[in-house]
Amino acid sequence: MKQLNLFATYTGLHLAIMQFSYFFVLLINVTSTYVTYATIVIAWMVGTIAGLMITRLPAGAALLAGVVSYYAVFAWVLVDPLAAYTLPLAAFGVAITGLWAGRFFMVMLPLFERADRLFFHENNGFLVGVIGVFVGFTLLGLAFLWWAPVVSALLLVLHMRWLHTRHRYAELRLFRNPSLSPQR
Amino acid sequence: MSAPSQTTALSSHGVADAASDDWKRYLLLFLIGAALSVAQFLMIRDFVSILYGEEVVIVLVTASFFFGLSVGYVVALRLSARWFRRLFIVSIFLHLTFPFSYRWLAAWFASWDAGGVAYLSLLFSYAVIFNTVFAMFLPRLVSLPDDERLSAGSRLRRYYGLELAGFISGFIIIMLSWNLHLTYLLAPYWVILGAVLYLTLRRPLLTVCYGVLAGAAIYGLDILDRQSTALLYMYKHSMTLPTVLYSVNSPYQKVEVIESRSGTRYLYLDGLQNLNSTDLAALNYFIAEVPAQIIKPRKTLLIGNGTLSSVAKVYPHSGAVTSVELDGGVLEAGKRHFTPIESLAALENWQLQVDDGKHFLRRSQEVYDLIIVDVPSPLTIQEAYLHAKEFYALCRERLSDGGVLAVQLSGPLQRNDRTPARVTAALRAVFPEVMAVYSDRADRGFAYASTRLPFTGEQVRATVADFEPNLEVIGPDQVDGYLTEAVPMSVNALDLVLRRGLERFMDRYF
Repeated sequence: MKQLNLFATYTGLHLAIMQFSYFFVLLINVTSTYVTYATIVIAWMVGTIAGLMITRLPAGAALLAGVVSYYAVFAWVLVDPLAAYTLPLAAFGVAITGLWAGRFFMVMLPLFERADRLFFHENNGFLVGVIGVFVGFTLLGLAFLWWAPVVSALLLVLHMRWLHTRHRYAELRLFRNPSLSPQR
Repeated sequence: MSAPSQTTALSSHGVADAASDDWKRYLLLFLIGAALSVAQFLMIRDFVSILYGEEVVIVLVTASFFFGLSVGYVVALRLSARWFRRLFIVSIFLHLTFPFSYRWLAAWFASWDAGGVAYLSLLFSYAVIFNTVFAMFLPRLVSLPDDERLSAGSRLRRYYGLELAGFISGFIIIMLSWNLHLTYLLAPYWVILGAVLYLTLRRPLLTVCYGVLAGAAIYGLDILDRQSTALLYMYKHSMTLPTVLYSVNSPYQKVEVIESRSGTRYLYLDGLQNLNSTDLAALNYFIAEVPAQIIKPRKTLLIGNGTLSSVAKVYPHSGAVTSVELDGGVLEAGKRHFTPIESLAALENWQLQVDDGKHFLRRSQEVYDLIIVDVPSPLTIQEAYLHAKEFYALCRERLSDGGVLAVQLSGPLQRNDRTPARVTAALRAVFPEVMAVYSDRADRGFAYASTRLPFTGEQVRATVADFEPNLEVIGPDQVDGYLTEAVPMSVNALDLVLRRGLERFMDRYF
């Protein structure tokens, strides 16, 4: 159970890194008007809701798709920050990243069995992430925005892989959906 | 009006048994989401303003919000139904005292010089009161042992999805309330809480009591808001008999205009003094009027200066003036209390753009002879970016040959790595020529930067001779000598935000 708690905490941390990295990337390269903030918040929530609803999304695929879309958005805003469709495109990317924020809870609930513990550990990780992103970005600048998401995602994937092979958690297969019990 | 029976109206988790009314449970979760969204906004804005809005404080307050949620998750399934109901009722009724009760408490702490432990206790206690009960709903409902029709996974999917949808709705309510009086946010918030109270407990009498109290609170909201804010400024900011002239939450910060007994008006942004009407004249003089008077620009760009007070200073010397300000709340405060809009209405060659300065510069094709950047000190990441070399490089691209960029340095330029030196170093990283001046009257330093400064230190001294005879001027050939320890502010070197924020926070409270 300790390993699962750690995984949930670490996922919270990763989600905070992704969400705030998007914010800083858009703030620096596009605009810091409230539209940017609103875009990220709403798109993230929509992505999370979609992640809750899409039952056939493997855990690893949801996680990695989020990281890939982050770098795609990052590259795009460097290429054409002022295009009219930059923010809608970014919103789409944020929503893709938000998928894991929803999918994570569906994947982990059967392993945790209790929603309170699951939310508790994920939330603690997010809290640490909020502080970590601020410290990391102010001290490391763009290097943090470039490296933190991918490093954090890779560590999470390794942890997921380890949990799957060592503890036989079928829910944590990277790219194959676990056989779901019929949902009532 | 009798209390509903334990068996029919309350589940073992203390949340009304809506097994036969799924939509009521769905509505409850949706409203909880909306309430959490508004609670997060209210709490972060108000506590940041109480503790003063450096980025360090913003992060601390945000972290405390998540701490409140964590406490809720810890106790969610540990509390009996009876204790859950009691805590829920207390919490909902305490919400009617927001934001006044914690402002009064903060003012009271300030009156007896309480230290940081008192303020942090206040922050974290209110984080628990604000969020803990809301955070308990989702785990309790997902774990309901009495709902046989849905698996835990299906319940999580539906309930959490609805809570998130509610969160988006709450965010929309917040957006609709921006730059308006607090009533526009608190009134819908309290209505939502009333609905949550009823759906959770199904006690009409209790809900009516809540409604009456909420109605009374809304009726007295304006007075309570002004009174509690004034108390805060009286005790925490040591102002004598302050009057609150303006107070709104803009999309970016809390904007407040306070008038002291002597008639001086102060603009506060997230609890930090941005300027006051006494210093404003000297600030505008050095950052705007002096360079405009000397170079007589054809086109002038003013970035920031939300009070619009510099416009009239540069306009007589400029062919055309464009103001760019991000925050509509600050602009409104400026129009109402610092620069009456009627005084600017006759300026035919002045235009106002509500936009982010860097976004405007990237989109603009214009070339300016004078760009004035009048923005707050770099205490948050967003503000720090406007003092970074990347931003100054954008300004340089839009300056004419020999055009001048004027900025304020927050303090005197000295041989260290403090804010004035870091900002000057950023300017120097972009511009070959930078001149710094320090004004006693303005109580701060200023810098003029250019590829080829069109004036000398002597010309500046001669221009300001009547205003400030002993102006300290550091010429372009001397500036580098002051920057030996200073790392230019840049996107990759924003450590000042963290360092300065921590210093100020510790000095203030510990």
